[in-house]
Order: sequence, then C-alpha cells, then structure tokens
Amino acid sequence: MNIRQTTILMLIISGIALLVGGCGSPQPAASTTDLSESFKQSLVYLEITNSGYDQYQPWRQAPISKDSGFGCAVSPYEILTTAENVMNASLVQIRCYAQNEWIPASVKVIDYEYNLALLQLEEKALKAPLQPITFTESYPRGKEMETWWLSSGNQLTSARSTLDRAEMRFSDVSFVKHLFYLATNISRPFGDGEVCFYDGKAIGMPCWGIDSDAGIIPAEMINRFLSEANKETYIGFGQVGFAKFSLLDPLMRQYLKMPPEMDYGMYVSTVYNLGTGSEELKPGDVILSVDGHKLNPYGHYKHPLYDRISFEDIILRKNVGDVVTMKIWRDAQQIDLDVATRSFKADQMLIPYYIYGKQPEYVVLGGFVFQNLTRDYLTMWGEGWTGKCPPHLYHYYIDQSFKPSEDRQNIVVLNYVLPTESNLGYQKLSRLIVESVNGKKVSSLQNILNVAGSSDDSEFLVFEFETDTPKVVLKKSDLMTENMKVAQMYGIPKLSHIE
Amino acid sequence: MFYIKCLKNITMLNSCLLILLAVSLLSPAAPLEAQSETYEKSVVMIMAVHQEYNFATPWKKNPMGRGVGSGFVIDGNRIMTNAHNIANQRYIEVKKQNLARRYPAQVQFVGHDCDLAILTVNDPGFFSGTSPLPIGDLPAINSTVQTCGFPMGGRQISVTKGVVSRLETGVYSHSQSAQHLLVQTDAAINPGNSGGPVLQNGKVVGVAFQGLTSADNIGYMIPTTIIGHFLNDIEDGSYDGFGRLGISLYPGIHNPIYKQYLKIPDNEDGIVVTSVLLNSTSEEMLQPGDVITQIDDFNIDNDGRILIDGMSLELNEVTDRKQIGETVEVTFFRNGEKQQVSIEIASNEPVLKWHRLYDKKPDYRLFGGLTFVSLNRNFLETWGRNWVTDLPFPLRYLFINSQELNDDPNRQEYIVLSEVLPDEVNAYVQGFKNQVVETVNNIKINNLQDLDDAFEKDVDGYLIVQFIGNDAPLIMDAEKARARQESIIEKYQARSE
Repeated sequence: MNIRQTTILMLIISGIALLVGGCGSPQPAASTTDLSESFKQSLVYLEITNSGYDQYQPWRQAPISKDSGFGCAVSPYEILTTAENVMNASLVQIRCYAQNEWIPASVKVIDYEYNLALLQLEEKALKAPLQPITFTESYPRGKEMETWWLSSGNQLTSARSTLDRAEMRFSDVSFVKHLFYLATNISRPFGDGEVCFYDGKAIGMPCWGIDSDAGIIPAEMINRFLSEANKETYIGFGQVGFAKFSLLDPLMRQYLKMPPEMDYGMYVSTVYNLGTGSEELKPGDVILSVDGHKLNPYGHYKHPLYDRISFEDIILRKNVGDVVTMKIWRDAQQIDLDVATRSFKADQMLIPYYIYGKQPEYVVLGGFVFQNLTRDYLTMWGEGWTGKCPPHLYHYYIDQSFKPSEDRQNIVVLNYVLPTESNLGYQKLSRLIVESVNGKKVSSLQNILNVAGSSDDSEFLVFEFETDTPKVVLKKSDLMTENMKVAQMYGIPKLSHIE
Repeated sequence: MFYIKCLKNITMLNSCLLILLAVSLLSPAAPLEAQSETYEKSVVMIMAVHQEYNFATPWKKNPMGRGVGSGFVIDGNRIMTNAHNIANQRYIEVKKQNLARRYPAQVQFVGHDCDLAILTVNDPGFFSGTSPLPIGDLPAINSTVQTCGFPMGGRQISVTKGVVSRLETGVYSHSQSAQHLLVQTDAAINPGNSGGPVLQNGKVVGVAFQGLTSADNIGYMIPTTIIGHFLNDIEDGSYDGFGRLGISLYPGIHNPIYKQYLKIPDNEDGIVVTSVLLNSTSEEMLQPGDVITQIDDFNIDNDGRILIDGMSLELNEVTDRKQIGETVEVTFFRNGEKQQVSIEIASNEPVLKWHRLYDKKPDYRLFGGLTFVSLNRNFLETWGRNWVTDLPFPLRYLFINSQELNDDPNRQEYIVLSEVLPDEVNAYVQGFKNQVVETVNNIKINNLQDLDDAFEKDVDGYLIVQFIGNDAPLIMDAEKARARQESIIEKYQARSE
C-alpha cells in the first residue's frame, strides 16, 4: 500500500516537473535581476504526512493523507513555514534545492494565531547548513512583488503579484483577526509558505491564495514570532477579549450621553472571560482610543503605514503582560483604563476552536460515548455545518465559546451509544449535553471518570442532561465487565483519552 | 417528515383545459357496476383558488394559485373534502360528473390538523340527484377498497382498487406536524384524488389524502376514527381540533437498571415522562421521571404503545378518539408508588407551535418602519425551501428548542422584528432585523398587543428595543418615529389589504 502510494506520488511529481519545464521555459523573465541564485540554499519543499482523528470514533485515526507546502530557512537548521501547513502533521520532511534526500523536520514552535511555525532540522541530516533569509519590514503598496518557492519538481519557481493593501482579516486557522498584506493579479497560484520579495528583500510569507488574490503574513509578524520563538518559552501575543458593535448611529451616541463632538469610538457588545480586556471592560463601554490611537465607530485606527485598520492590530502586536492604555466612555463619563495584555490558547476556550492533530478527548463508559464539544466536533456535519448541526450544541459554540468559567471548563456531550445488552432502551440517545453525574455538575470529561471511579457506596451512576431526556442510569458494579465487552465488541483499544 | 406530499392537483388553467379536451374526445364510458352508482352520484370535483399572506411583511399577499381535488357528499347536504384542497381559499367551485354546471361553494368547517373540511353549496339544486355516503368503520388489513376521485383533474370519476396494507400513526403533511392514525393502501392515489372517498361495501372507510413520493404504491387515507372525531367536534358549531396531554415521553423502561432505579415493579411496563409542557393541563399532574403504565383502560407497553381494536398503536390514539375538554385516566409510578390522575385533554401547545398556519391573516405592528410579527412556522418558511438550515441561528434554535427555552408562563408568543422599512428614523437599525424582542421601553413583550402599550411610552425621549441574546439595544427617537409613522406607511403602502 505504502509503496504504491509513493510510486503514484513520484509519477505525479515527475508529471508536474514536466509541465513546469514545458510551460515555464518560453516565458521571458520579467525581473531584471535573477534573485534565485541568492536563495538556492534557503528555500525548501515540504512534504507533510497528515493523520488526524475520526471525530465520530475518536479512538480511531483518520486515513493518512499527504500534503505539500513550502518554507524557508531562518537559521542554518531552522525552517519557517505557516502553521496551517503542519497543523495535522504526524511527519514533516523537507527537500533542499538540487538534492533528493528527504530530511525529517520537527515542529519546534507553532502559533496558530499568527499562523506561523518554526521547524527544527537535525544538523547531521543536512549536507551543508542552510542559508538563512532575513525578513525586512517593508510595505511597497501598489508595487510588484516576486514570490519564490522550491517546487515539488525541485525547481526554483516564481510568480508576480501586486501588493494591494494591508488589512485585518479572520485567519483561516484560528479565531483571531490578524494583519495580512493582500496581493492581487497573481500570475500563478501561491499561498502555502512561499516567500515574497520586493526589491530583493523578503517581506512576507503567503498563507492563502484564491483565484487571483493571495494573503501574505507580513515581515513584522514574522520577526515578532521569531524573536519570541528564540526565548526559552514561547508565550505568544495579545488576543482580544471582547466583541464589538459598530457605533454608527448618532442617536445611540446621544443615548449614551456622549458629547456631540465625540463622534468616534466603538461599542463593546460582549466581554469574554478570556483575553485582553476581559477583566477590565463591560458590555456597553465605548472604547474611544487604544494606546493613544483614536478609534472610529467601526473600531479602526489610523496606522502610519497601513492607514485605517482594525484595532485588533494594536493588541496582537503586544507581548503578554504589556499594558494597553484605553480611554473609554462608561456611564456618561470618560475614564482611563490600563488593560493588561492577555493571551489564551484554544484549549482554554469553553468550546475549543481547534485541536489540530491532537486526539480528541473521550470517555467510553458502558457503551456511552462521551466527548468534549469542540468546533472540530461540530464540523462533522460537513459543508454548511453551522446550519445543520443541532442548535442546542451550536448555541454553545456561537454564544459561549470564549466564556469558560470556574464551574465549567468544557461542555461534555453524550455523542451516541454503542449498543450492548446492558444499555437497551438508551441506544437512540445522542448529541446530549451532560449536565451532571450523581448530582455533581460536569465541567470536564475527567469529572465523569472521577465519579465513575469513586469508591463511595452509591449503587448507580446517574447522568442528567440539559435537554428534556431521561436520566441515564448505570450500575456501578456492572461497569467493569460492560466496559470490557464494549471494548471487545467494537474494537476500541483504549476506553478513554484525556490529556 | 417532509417527504409526504399532499395530493392536491395544482394546475394552471390551460393545462386543465387540455385535460378536459382530451377526455371529451373519448367514447362514453362502459356501464358501471351496480355498486358504483353510489359514488357516481356522490363524488364531486373541487376547484379552489388560494392565496396566502406574506408572513414577513403581512400587509402583502403572495400570488394566487389554483388547485383541483375531490370531495364527496355526506348527510345534511354537506361535502366532505381535505382541508388542503381549500386552505387559504379565496374562491371555491364544485362540479358533478358529466355535468357542465359549476356551483360556488363555501367552507363551513375546516380542521387543518386532521386535513378535513366540510363545504356547503347554497344552490339547493346541487344536491338533487346526489346520495350521501355513509361513514363506515376501520377496514381490515388486506381487505379490498376502492378509491374514487379526479386524479390529475379530468371529467369522469376515476376508480382504483387496492387493499388495505396497514394502519399506523404518521404525520399529516398538511399541518407538517400533527400525527394521527392513517391507513395505508396500494390503490393508486394521485394528485387530484385528495378528498375523495375510499369505499368498502358502499361505505366510506377513509378519505384519500397523501402519498409517499419516494415509494411505489403507498397511498394514505384518513381513517373513520379521525373522520368521526371531526364530525362530532363540529356538531356544536365550531371546530376545536385534536387535543394532547402536553407531555414528552421516552421509551426507557426497556432497560432493567433504569426500571429498577425508577422503582417500577417487574411485572409493569410503561413509558417515561421526560418533560411536561408549561401551562399545560398535565403541569400539576405529572413530572419528569414519572412512568405511565396505563391510560384509561389500556396498558402501555415499553415502546409506549397500546393495544386498541386489535392493533398496537401510539398512545395518542386514546386522546385522538376523545374531544378537547374530555379527560383521560392516567396511571403512573412515582417513587415506586402507583398513582392515578385524570387529565383534561386540551390543545396544550408550546408557545412556538410547529404546525403550519392556514386561513390566518397574520397580525403585525409597525412603528417607525419597524415591522413586528409573531414568530411562527409560516414566517420561518419565508426563508425558502431550505428554511430549516438557512434560518438565522437564533430563530432556528428557538423554533427547535422553544419548549425547553421558554420558562416564562406569561409568554404567549415570540415577537420578531421581521422587516425594517428604511426611513431616516431607522437608518442605523437594519442590523437588528430578524431578532426576537425581549422588552420595549423596559416593558416585557409577551404578545403582539403588548407592543401597543410599550410604544406609547418612551424612556427619556427614546424608544428602546432590547432583543433576546443581544446586549446592544435598538434606539430610536420617540418623537421623530411618531411623526414619521404615517408617511412611512404611505411610502411603503403598508396597509392591510
């Protein structure tokens, strides 16, 4: 199986190589200087083996798939690429220019919010150290950029595009908005970790491309990421801890008793339990300025280079712990707030936005399959999942994702029941949110294991759910044998996985 | 739930003519069997023009349509047909076989939950020469039945023969939610057959009404138990409909451990109550965790079914055979103790009803261009064919889970901002469209009428609308909104037609 797959892959690669050779050569080079010579030892091709997990049967790995991407050396033995390229990777291998060997790489640091990853190579695996590329912060708006990469056919390949603008946009891999340089008129598709050059200098790394547009992670983010990655522990950058509502209506300002000349500021509609501002702000506040930058009603500020871009930019460039100064309008008064920059990871969210490559947590008890509610779980409903998944689950995702509490760290779902003789009558239960077990509120899968394993003298395990469903009652003394039966019947190697 | 199709033949006028022409070219039909004479005189064609309101902008009506169906004469110079033949009707005509004359007809009673209706014809001449069909009993499985009607229109009555395949409880697709007993037959039932009688030994044993589009030869008729309920119900001059107990049930007693936990004796079977509807007649009587073992004299098995007339049927067969206002005796176990209560059968419907509304002119309120309507299925269906998935999430959540989400006994309906008619007073509030109203000027809104009082007031000169699940309020200038009211109505012709 493996051998065949590799052969097919090789055939495809050689096919592509032929194609590239065939169409590429007659085109005259647009650039006056051939950049390629200078980074032959810098650009690499990535082959990524992905192995995720089956959300429905979380004890089972999803079929293995292969993917490709690009990267560049940022030190002799370190490769920079996008987080998206390696997020589900079980194996990453790189290939250098004019070499055939696959060199294994391990993920050293990954930041999904910046969509960047640093890969580590073993010194002895390389014939010669790589030539690092330095990223230069430059914003040549309206100018033509060159994008280079080392193709699967081991050719240095390039594309042209025009830098259109800078914008804060939602990331494809995370819940944050981050800074993008948007390229238009791209001469051929790119967006997988290639390197963009202007005037001979590397200025960014593309992370998506659609039709004739592409999104580029700018050098300023790359350099912040690299400097943080060189520290002993990677902490990451600030994240926003609230949601906004555009304050366009003059009447609304009047209602909030804002003076007529105060025609700026954005409205805080929801405050999270995580992130920057989560402890200092209240819903209904109007944020007038952040770090001295006035915000317009949409929440945009005037950046010296990028002109009007969204306020998230200010927070995302801050290190955790740095102070953000805000002027806000609250209760008909202007007040100054010192807000601590906070960061959080997806697994701290009530409904984790991603688990990427990690095995989903689960507990199988007497055939009842309990899992954490995550965004990945909901995406099981396929294309259009937001409209198809059960609303009582989606409600937590859309309204409560950023609001974990002391009492509730996760939402535990009874996914479905693996039928056995002992769970007769319960076998059609599915997609239920677990409220409590033996009267104790359930805040995580661990709670369930704790109660099930406790040696108190209760005869039963009684589960209650949030929706109008019967209680599930299991006999504690039967559990051990029932679990063994289920494991055997349905081929479950491990009846629980909790990190 | 959505695959059952009503068998009304909806045609445009010209295609109707085509069919009529084609039929007229045929030679006269061969003499019919003796028995057939009954239906020949009693089965009529029903042609109706229907038109519905737009539930998002209720002063507008949707385009009209036409439909052809069947009906039959019953005692008292009445015509029985399907409710879906005449739903949202503007004009009805009936016609007898072999006669060119059409008679205007009126709806006397309609039961949308059981898909039955009674029509009358003012011209007494219509009923001369007809003979009322008697209503029979439930037919036996595998017994032969005949369906009569006007499938795909036509001039002559079409007769098909088949057997009774089974009796079961199923969804009546006209209401999209009501479930009653239905009889399945393999006699061909096609669009246009709707409302026609299904006969056995000269008696009506059912009214043909729906079929499965995804299967062959599966047609359904409304059984005589349901017809009987409908006819009894209207005897007092009004139709009240079918009642319920207002409880949700789960067949959990199959599990011996659960049974033991709920302290149900080994020799008892039953079904677990999982919820009791707010404001229902069961509210003080039953509670979640109760196990119902008997309803009237019928024992309930672990699937929640009862043995009635030799058939294993759903529990609601008992309530379906009684009228609203009557009671049932419910025997149940609570904490190991056997108890009995008598519960009144009532409408017992949740605040947000699942069934589709017909013949109802939607009410609304318009303030400063803000259009408020009651949240109901017809409004939600304005999102089109895939409305369930295309709905804005908060509306879908409320529709599917309203029973669990509403814990306010005073709430009578949910009010939604269905449309903002753009004007200078509401230039910035489009973003609130399709949200559900919580309060107006700090007054809780439990029904459409509450808006009248609430909008009379203001808060320091502002109109403030707060929506469910949204901290940000909608603000309007009270004085300006009142001043613009008439011109907005004028500009958008927002007057009830």
